[in-house]
Amino acid sequence: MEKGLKLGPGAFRDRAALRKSLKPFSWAYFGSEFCENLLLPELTEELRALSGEQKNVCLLTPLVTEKGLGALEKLFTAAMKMSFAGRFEVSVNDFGVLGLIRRLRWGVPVSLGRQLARNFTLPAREGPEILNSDGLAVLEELRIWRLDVSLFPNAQKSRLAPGNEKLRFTAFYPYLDVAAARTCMLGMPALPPGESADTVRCALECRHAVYRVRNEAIREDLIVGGNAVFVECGGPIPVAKGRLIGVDRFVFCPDT
Amino acid sequence: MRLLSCITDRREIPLLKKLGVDEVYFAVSDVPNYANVGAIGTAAQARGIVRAAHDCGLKVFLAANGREARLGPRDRELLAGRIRAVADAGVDGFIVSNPGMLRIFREENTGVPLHLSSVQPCFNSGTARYFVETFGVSRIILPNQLAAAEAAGILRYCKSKGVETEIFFYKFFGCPYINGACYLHRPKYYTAAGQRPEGEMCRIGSGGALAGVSALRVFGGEAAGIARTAGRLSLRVSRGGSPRLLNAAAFFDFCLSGVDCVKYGTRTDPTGIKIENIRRIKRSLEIFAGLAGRFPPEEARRRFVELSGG
Repeated sequence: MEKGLKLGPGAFRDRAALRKSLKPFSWAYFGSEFCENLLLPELTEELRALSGEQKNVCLLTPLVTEKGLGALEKLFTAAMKMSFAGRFEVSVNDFGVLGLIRRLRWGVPVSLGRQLARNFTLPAREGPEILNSDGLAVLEELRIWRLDVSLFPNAQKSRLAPGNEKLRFTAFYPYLDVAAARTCMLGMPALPPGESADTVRCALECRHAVYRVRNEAIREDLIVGGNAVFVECGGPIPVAKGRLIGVDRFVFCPDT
Repeated sequence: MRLLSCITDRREIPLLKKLGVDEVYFAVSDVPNYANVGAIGTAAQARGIVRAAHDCGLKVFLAANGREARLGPRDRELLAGRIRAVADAGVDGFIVSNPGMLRIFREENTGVPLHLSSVQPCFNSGTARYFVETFGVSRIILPNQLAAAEAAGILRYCKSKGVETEIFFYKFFGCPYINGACYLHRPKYYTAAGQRPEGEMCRIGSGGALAGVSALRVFGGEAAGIARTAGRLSLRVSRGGSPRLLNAAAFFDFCLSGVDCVKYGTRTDPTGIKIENIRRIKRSLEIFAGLAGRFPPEEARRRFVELSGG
């Protein structure tokens, strides 16, 4: 079972601390999983820094507009020239980003991120639930063999359809993503009716903190990290259980 | 700009026709559709709906846009049969979101146009290209979390390929989250405190008292700034969510950019509310038609916002 750490805001401020935090893990998950406003120019240098570590690296990418697609093209073009000490993968949450990778003729292994993977599999109490066999055929057409998922803590078995033996899951914990917005609840001032926004303007408040929300409607606390809302799901599940349901990699995401 | 409305009762068709609706869409209980609400019978009964719409001179589409389309081998076979039956009935389009479902439609090769549902978020021209080239999608329904300026690349691509585009009317579609990625609709991911109507959790937040918000992990920044953000978050979680990009001004810009259709899609509304809301949309479209081209865009937008009541 491989183990990864998803790096949060500020992870690169102290390189010694970064190296220490990564020590127990073989994978560094890095980038922006949910928000295109976090596709900042410094990602290139941070990725370059990671390329020198003795770690496998997975670059997380979000759902994007044309703006994010442009930012990712620059980042990908730079990444294509980097050499990594370990393995390198990209996780995508947008079919357009997958198309960009193919258009660049970049042979990097690609997984579907937690948002995009929900077209094919859903978190279920029993484990990742494959929705339909035609979805698996689409994944094969796309040459995708890995899906990122959140798991419930008591996941036991997968309702695997025949023919998906090649499929592998990366299980993120301890938070299960339940919603994501573009105009996030942390940032962006309200828009007056007379103003037609040109894009989502944001002061990157999410880089300062992750919040716990207690409310009357939901018994569990909600965790809000940037534009995404989570509930705590615990984990990771035991390794043997993970293997049983096709999970061969856990990613610890302390900062969502 | 054409006007498309949902229907949840066959008797709504002539009423909507009188109001100037050009197209209608419906759902049936045995074809997966988003939220599975407002179905009119089953696929076997679709022929009657299609005929009623065509008799009124309206195009008619079937919502087959269940994002979570769970299909075993037997379900798939049955679904394919239903798709063929609805296609044979003369339906003018299927609204689809799940890639597996899109593949089934492609395999069935019914010749009926496919519309990409907003539940499958298309935020860039690359995504549009994927669905057009892979599945032959002929209309893209833009998610309401996209600004008009941000949609320019998609609209350009769609026009170049003869693909139609559709938007929601800004007043009657409220989920602040990316629709296909909003599982606040699904209490199985958390424990709901009491019974609440479908969609309430994401549309109006928790209601009642303001949610209590505290910083769980702090990475930097000043304490005062973090407290301000926590306050804003509390208000937004409890009272309607994050800001909407699709407001009156953005709707005007979408109309100006040549989007083909506007949709009224709140299937849970009763007939009376549907009629009232369609009238409001028609009125907005008339205001737009009276302003576009008569004034410079900035001035026309300002007047549109004023005349349409924000």
